[in-house]
Amino acid sequence: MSAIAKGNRRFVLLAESPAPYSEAQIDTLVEALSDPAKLTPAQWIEIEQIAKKLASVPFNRSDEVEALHTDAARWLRALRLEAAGKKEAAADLLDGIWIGCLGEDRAQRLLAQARNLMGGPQRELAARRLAEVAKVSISHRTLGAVDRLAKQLRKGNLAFRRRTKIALLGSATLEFWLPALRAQCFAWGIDAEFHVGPFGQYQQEILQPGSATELFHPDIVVIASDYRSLGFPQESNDPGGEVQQRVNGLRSLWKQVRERMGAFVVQLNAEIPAQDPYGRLSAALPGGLGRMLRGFNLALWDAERAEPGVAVVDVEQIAAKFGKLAIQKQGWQDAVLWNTAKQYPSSQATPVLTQHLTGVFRAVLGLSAKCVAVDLDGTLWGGVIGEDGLGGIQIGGGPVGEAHAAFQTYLKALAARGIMLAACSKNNREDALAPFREHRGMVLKEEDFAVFVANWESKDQNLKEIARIINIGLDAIVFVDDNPMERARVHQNVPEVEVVELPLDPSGFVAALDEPLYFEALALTGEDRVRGQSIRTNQERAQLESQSGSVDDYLASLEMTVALSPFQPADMARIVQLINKTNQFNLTTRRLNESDVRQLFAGEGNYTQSLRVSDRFGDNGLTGVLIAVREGDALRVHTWLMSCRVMGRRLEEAVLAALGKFARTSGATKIVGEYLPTAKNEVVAKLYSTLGFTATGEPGIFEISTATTQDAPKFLKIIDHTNVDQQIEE
Amino acid sequence: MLERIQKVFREVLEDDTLVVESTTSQETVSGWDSLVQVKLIIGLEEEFGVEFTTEEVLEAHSVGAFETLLESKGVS
Repeated sequence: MSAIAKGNRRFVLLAESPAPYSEAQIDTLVEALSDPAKLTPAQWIEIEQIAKKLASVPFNRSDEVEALHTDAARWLRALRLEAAGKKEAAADLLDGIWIGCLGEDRAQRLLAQARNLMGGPQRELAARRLAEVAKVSISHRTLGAVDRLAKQLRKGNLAFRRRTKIALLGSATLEFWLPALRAQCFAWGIDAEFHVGPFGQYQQEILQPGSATELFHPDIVVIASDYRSLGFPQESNDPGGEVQQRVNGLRSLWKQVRERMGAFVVQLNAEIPAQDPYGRLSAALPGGLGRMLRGFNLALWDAERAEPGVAVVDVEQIAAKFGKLAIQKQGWQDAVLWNTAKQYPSSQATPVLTQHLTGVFRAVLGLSAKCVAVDLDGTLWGGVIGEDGLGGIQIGGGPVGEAHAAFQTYLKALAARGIMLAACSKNNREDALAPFREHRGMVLKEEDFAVFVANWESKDQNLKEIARIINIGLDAIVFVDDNPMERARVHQNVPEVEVVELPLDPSGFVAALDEPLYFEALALTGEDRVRGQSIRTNQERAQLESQSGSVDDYLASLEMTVALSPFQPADMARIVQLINKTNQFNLTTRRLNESDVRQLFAGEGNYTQSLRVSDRFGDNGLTGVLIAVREGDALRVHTWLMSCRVMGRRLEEAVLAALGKFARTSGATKIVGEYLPTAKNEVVAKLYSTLGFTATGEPGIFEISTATTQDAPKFLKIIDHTNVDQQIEE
Repeated sequence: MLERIQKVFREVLEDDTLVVESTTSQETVSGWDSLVQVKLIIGLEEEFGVEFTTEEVLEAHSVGAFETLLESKGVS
């Protein structure tokens, strides 16, 4: 403790003294820099100030600093190299200097390296560092810096995970959101183009045919109707009517956006003002403003459930999370800048709001994480099970044990909502399992995990193994480990994996995992709820497979039943979800929103098919989607995908058999298949050839005569509902 | 103080070569519109740890005006 306090004082004094320094001051500097104690956020900044002072004067004792290997000395040397224009050398020196740093402090260290990597040969690394900055920082200044640097980087080629066009409409000056929003989209691999509608004219922009917003052809339209623009009275005799009228108004706007622009709607709900002349009565009185706004927010969620292609963002919750207390310039709103420039929320609060918006964008674009891989020792409990034993670990009782139990409770609820839980531990398997089986303080049980990996392999190998077992990309995994060195290694070796920066104190684990909003979703389907169970039974299937003679023997032993049906209204949420997140068994990777799907469904002569499969281990639920459109005498496969959980079971043959049957009865003479290659769908590159299609010569286009399509394999029990009249009720 | 004001101007206007003086004003800097005005206000508030009032935000349209305001708030 005293070492840190002493060091702190030394750096402050030097940072505040004018340069050049006296010999005695340089002695103090060298001594302070040689202290290996961890730097505080203030010290990092003080050293930065010292470096700036040294840059403008001769410094003839730099070799003494060169000889030191503490973080403090590296930081000073790197900043001096940067000032001298030796950016690559500075970047090298800064590599890894953020290990163990958290939050804004971490962001600043990463930003310093990114800055120095810019313009050099390692553009990809610069982009990765910048992305990391924008994920950990909620400072609008830092995000502004990321935005500016990212703009320079984007002049060359950069790999993005998705491209999208986003229109922002509302009743505040939304240009203020752009720097943070652009930086955050960049961070999560979204190449987003933005259009900001004119202030206060969101209705006109949506209703007016040929408006700038419509001509922009957005994929996503954000409606930020600030609570003031909704015009609720302070008290009303008809609060229900007031709410209904406004919700109906917004619903008709949503409908226009979806039908005319084919875009997804992100609707912001209403903040409840912190200053209210009615005080507590505002919510207590039946017609009070506070109560009406609460009613309005609930009614918006009801409307979201009734309308496809809409997600409501909970501004009220975000404002509360940030803090509405009007300490000027610190709180959610800045009254001065609202009055002068219609800025909402304040510049400090904006990054938190845009972070939530980006979370929803990721959900819309199918980029949300699907799995959380957790370390055990030090993460799920205090202590090391292999050394401390069952009686020695801290879980359940005591302050440390309670902190770990709270974290387990959070993880258990994540698993219940369909985020797959994986254990990723360096341990003997039996040791690792013992607490789950025998310790009464444990909240998580063995069966909460979809995958349980405990061995002595490296964590990056094990994460690859987990991705393989669950059959997801590494970029769908969030890794949680209390050991900063393990985290740094995973960052380095499998950069696709999201790594949570845990604080030293387990009381902060829940917030650290929650705040980056890795797992935002648009809906919760029945499949989500049983996903972990389904992955576990898949591993049992794999065991059965290794015991069977041939693949077909194994598949037959699964006793599969396949139900094929045209799209049903009740399945719509799941179908849209699959279309937007399936990457591997996906022939065309066309992402569609609900109104697109309905249009394709309604097309004359088109065929839609959902696939459900169950076997002796349980029901896998709706795991396959096919859409074929009629073009002349051909049926063209527009979309065909299958969840990775049911791949490799010859189900594609059943899908094609049913499609062939439909084609023949509807008078089509051939089926045209299309393969659009992506970074992830190599697995189906040869699917059409395997199924007997012939290549047409046009790249990626295959066809087969409807007379020659084969029947489904004998071991599949098929229930085909295709001849039932296709129908989706509105 | 002028150096720190210039830093804020460069950041907001995204121009690393911009040079400002007391006489620099909304007329002499291209791109200094109402949006930039607010960004400058936010930037200066943070750089100097001060707060501007509604009237000040509306009336400060030159670097010299910002200098006067900052001096009145105890910045040297």
